[in-house]
Amino acid sequence: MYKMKIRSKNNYNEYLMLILLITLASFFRLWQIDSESLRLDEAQSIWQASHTFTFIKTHMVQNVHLPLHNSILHIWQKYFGTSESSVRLMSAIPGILTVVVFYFLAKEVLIKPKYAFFATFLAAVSPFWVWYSREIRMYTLLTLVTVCSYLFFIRFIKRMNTFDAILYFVANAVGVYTHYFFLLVIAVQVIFLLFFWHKNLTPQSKAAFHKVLYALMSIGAFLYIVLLPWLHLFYLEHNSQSGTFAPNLARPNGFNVFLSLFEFTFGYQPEGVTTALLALWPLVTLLSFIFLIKRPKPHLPFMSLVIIGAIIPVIGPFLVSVFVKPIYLTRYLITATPFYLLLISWFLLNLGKKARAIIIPLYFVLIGFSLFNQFESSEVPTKENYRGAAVFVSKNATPRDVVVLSPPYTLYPIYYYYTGLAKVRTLPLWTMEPGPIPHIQDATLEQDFTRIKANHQRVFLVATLNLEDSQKAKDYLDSNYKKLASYQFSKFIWVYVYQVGYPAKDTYIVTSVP
Amino acid sequence: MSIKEHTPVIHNRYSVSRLLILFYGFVVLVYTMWWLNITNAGNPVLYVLLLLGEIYHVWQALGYVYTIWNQQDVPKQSIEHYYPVDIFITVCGEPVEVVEKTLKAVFAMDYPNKQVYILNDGRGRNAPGWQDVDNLALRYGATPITREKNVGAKAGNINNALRQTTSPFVAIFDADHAPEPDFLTETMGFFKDDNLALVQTPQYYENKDQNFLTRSAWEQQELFFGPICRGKNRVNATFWCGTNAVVRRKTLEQIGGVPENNIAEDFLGSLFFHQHGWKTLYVPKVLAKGLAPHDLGNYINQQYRWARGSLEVIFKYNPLFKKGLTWAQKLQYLYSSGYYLNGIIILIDALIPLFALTFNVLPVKAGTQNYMIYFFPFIFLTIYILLLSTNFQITFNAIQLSMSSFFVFCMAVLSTILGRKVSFKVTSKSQEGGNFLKLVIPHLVYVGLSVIAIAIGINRNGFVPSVITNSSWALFNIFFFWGFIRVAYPWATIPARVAYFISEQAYSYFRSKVPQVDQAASEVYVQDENQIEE
Repeated sequence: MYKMKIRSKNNYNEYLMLILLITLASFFRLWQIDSESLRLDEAQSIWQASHTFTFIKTHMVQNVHLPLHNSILHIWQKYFGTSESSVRLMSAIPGILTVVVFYFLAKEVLIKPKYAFFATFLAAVSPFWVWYSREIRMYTLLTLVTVCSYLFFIRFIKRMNTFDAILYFVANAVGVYTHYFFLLVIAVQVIFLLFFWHKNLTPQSKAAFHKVLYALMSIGAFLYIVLLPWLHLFYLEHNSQSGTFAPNLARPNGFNVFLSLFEFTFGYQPEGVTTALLALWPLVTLLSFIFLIKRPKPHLPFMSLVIIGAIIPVIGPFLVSVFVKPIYLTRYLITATPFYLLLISWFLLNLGKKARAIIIPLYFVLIGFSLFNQFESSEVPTKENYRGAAVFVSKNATPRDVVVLSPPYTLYPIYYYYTGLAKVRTLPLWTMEPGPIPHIQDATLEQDFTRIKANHQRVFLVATLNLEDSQKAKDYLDSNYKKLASYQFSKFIWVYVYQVGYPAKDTYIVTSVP
Repeated sequence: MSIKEHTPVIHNRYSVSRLLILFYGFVVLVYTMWWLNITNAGNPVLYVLLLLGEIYHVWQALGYVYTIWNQQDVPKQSIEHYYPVDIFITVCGEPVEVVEKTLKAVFAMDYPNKQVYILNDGRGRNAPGWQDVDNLALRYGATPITREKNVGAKAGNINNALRQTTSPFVAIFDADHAPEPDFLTETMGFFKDDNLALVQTPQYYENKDQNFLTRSAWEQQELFFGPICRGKNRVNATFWCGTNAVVRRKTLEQIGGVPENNIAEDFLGSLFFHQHGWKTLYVPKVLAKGLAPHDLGNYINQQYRWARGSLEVIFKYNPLFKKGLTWAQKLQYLYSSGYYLNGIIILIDALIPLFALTFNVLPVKAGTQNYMIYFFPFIFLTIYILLLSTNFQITFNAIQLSMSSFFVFCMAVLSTILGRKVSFKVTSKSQEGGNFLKLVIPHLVYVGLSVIAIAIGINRNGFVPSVITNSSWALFNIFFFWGFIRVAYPWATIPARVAYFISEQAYSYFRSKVPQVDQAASEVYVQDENQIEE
């Protein structure tokens, strides 16, 4: 009876702590969720989701992503509309749920509840997770299914429970239709089972291990069946030579790996802050000395899973990018972050007393600063203020002007926000027709632009300078026309106003300045 | 409790995957190529200095992985013939109780054919109570061999004893190293190989848990007597470590006795053994227990002695030019003695960020990106391989202490080159008080200079990346130098001392302000005294 009382008291405390952490996570994910403009990718998702399921399927198979997220978004938009806060809520909810499931995963791995709470606290305030919970893309859903997959995987191999096996299958089925990189999560689990887990087995538990292996192989077979229709479509599409919407990524170097780890830790920061924090690398070396040396060999049974789960989803795509084809983008690597956060927690909690007293508060200060900066700074390079640019051109461009977007696919966010009377064209010309998006050709640039400007007086060029073609378009206009004004809306988004025809007196001056 | 019950780690061999070592070799190669690309050079002088440092690091790193490439097990050999063994206990002023403990352990050794000698140099040193050691020897049935003058220090002491004894094998123990009962039964069996000159066993520190210093010193020993010594067996490059070893008398006679003109007589003696084609063997079993230096003064003296002796081998007996040694042996001797050059390298590495901050010059033009690409994999793998090879036994403290010893090693280099003797004398008073601040003056000066340099850097350039990185390096070095600073003074007592000082001052102040109370108190006291007398 006494034991039961203690247990219920412990449960009560556990739930209370969890509620506090959920509240904290919800605050960071929901507070002023619509304060930032939609980013290009978000606007593209909303646009795709506003079409039929068949369109989504066809469009996604040409893209680098899978259809599940946008299909759910399609239904969501039907019932809740397409306002920024509404669509982003669809990311925030899995973002908050991830924190809850992460607690149970942390408890399975780190064993001690207080360690699990600490790790969950880091997850709740993780700037990287917060960023993606406020963006209507598939990354929080991907993180949620990753955490679920690992949780049910561990529970299943520990307990051989059918319920866990079913949940594991469901998580993986959702995962394989959410993002291709989810396959790395399954790869991590396979590697763990084959190369690490069997080392811990006693002769008695070896028979059980074989049972686990057969059960997981069956689940794998079912997953393959589930994914088969998509694989078939994918095969047909990529054999048809009709082209893809896949972005052209740069080949990464070793520094990108460190940059990814930096972003996993501190989220997205202005370049100055990133440079300053990276300049502290000798201290990171010192920490790695302490991390590697001032501790006993990790004896937690799932620590090897944590380590390979934090490494393979980063190093795998990196190696493929270096030796085969560039596929490396930090956000694609988000499946590494649950275990990365667990590793950080484990490291911080296993420091010596004195080191802990210094390093943990310092870490919290840095995270707090990063979170604040990520919210507040307009210099964060991943912030894309298309809203500001679209509102500006809506107010200032008259029907005698033309709005030109470069690169062409920035049409998505501008269409979302634009309410002006001036015509909107892209350079090079593109009208969202299926097939690959065209690039500026030197030979046809002048001809294209002559068609665009026609009899207009001014051109409002909305340029996203970190994207292909934008700089080229700007350079062309700079060298051929008179620039009347330029306005910056975020790190890379500019509006340039050029005089391209005879001016009417009243159109010289831009009436509203951002 | 037997020491074997709580020190099993050194017995085991923890191999590092050769694939990992090869990959590490590739990483080292890439890192070296990057450094050798002179287009990276900033200030030429600083660049060259830093480059030398990096070449040194790479040499030591490659030397280490070469050593641990194939660590061999040493199966026990049964004894076919119980050869007579002379057991030498070298004494030079150690307390009688320490010697007695060793003596007891020596007599408890399970070996029938042994003769025990106490080589007492206490007399020559005029150590108080040196006669007690002779009396102790006689009481236990050992033979004291006492010299009037300590010519040739420990080597001379052993040579003197060799002249007065005859057994074909000699087991040598320092006064504070007590052997286990099976010491000789575990080691003598190997001498069935007629070409074997020496069997060396680990120096285990019984007092390793006494304090930070003893613990860290033991961790350093674990690395040396772990993968390094096991690896040296492969190329027949094990060297004599002065104590806990058995030596074939004939080999010592062949090299003209233990070399007396070097502080590290054991190290040099081994080199001569190998030159004459003899084999040496390391048996990775803890068969004797000794004492680690328990305070900074003793630790520094020990490190200086080892450094000076090893460096003399480089500068005076360079193994590269010694005939009779194989290339593997030459490399091993050079690698081991070269370790003590790291004081100079650490000093260079520590001063460069201060130069950069103060004078706004950079040794390398490359940005953070390049350092991360090339340096991180190198340092990370270096530490990881170190850990794997010691089964995660080595701790940060051991490395901190090694780096803190930089100035001792620098002094050893200087004194070797100049042929001067340097001693780190610590007065008995300071030892009692545990105050070794004098010995950490270089470290404290570095802290002060760092603060000034960081202030200058920030004042001139603001928080630009180069200032942040160089300041971080300075902090990095301070963190490592903290290893010595923390044990140089009983810092924990400062609050109590300050509190005591304040209370003393307060007492004096109030006493001067309220003399009447004091007077009254005295009167009461006098009255009480009178009452007692009555």
